[in-house]
Amino acid sequence: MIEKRTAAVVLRARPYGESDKIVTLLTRDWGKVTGIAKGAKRSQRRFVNVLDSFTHVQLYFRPSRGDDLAFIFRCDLIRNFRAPGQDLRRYAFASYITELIDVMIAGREAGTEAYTLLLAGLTTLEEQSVLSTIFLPAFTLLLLSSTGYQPNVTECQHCGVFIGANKGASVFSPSRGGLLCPRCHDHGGMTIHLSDDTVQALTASRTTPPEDFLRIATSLRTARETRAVVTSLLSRHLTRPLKSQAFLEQLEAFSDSHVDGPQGE
Amino acid sequence: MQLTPALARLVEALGKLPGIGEKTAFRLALFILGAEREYVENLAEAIWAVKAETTHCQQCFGLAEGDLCPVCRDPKRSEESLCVVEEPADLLAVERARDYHGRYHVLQGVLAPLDGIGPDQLKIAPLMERLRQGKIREVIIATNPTVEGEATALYLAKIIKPLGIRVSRIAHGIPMGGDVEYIDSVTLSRAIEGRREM
Ligand SMILES: [Zn+2]
Ligand SMILES: [Zn+2]
Repeated sequence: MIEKRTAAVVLRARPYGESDKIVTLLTRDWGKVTGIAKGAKRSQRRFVNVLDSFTHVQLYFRPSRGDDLAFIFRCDLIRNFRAPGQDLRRYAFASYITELIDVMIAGREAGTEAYTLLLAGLTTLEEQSVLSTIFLPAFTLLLLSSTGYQPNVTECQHCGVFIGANKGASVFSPSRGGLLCPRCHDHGGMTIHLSDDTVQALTASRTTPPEDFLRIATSLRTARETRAVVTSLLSRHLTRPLKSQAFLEQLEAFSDSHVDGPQGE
Repeated sequence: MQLTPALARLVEALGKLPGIGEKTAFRLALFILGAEREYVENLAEAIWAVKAETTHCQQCFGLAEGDLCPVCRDPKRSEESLCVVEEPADLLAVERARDYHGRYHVLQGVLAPLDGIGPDQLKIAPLMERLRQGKIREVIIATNPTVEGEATALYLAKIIKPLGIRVSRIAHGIPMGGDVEYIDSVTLSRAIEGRREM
């Protein structure tokens, strides 16, 4: 098969043997790719400073057949995100969204949506001087949506009635994956009460470009409620907690700024 | 090529060494075969001993035989300066440079949330214990200039500075003998960022 070229973000790279590295990237055109970069550990000529996690690169590779590793010829730097190496909280956030992408995206079937989202996430971490309290919940929500687990906030998940106009009485049912109208509150098992602002934010996530949605200013309450929603949805799709979650929590323990991770608290 | 079983076994074992191909392994094996018995016994014994007798220093977690490594045992080394590295190999590299006369602390890794490696998985608690004893005045953080190494350095600075100890980070940039024209852009922008006044 001939050499392919696509833009990609490095999710992680591990040393392999004496001189190689195994690299996992999320590509724009080929979904998630795991490949071997020969000589990346020893001679760094073709791979200098491009295989660090979170790096945006132009990837030249030969796709694998079946479960084999792809072969990585070369990576050219597009953008080196500095924030994760300069700010611990942003490092924790970048690790979290990268791991989330890694576990939620299986392989080649991923569209460009997840790639665009990851790039928007890293760009926001790089450029926004004060992160929105909703950053992580918002990222998680958008990823859930792009992988088909979007919460339904337009109609009651029990009786089907249109909910849009119903103010002040919305509850979210994780087991039903959406809202329940006031008459059906008892039909969703454990539920989460949502303020109108939060319902609005959840609705806005469908039409707002990711880079804007990740930066929206919300009340702390909306950030918390959104976090509760995505945490409950996520726990239905993850078989184990994310590894980077523990680091986020540890950071929170000695940090004066509060970290709003999904699943936190 | 038909080798005797013992020779084939040696060629195969040597061939697993880094940088040794089949041809070189064969040459080395033949050399060993033709060498003095005393040399060969010494070589075999040295290989065995390095594995059997090397442990981790109980103070700095570098390589040691017994409780303490040569640096920790050396009374001439300054007790005021501590160089923090990722792995024992990094300690040895700094030692080879011969310009550092303080002590070390080996973290045995870096913060890597994606691999589930947090502060508790590294030798950070023993580091803080050493610092609280009060002799150390400066900590030099010599983790690698990767994103994980940088984040680890940030983390250490954050928890060490409140103790009133000076924390510095090794400089990174253009290698000696390097050529600005051919340096990659990431390294170059770091080098400019880390410039110093003359
Ligand atoms: Zn209903
Ligand atoms: Zn020692």
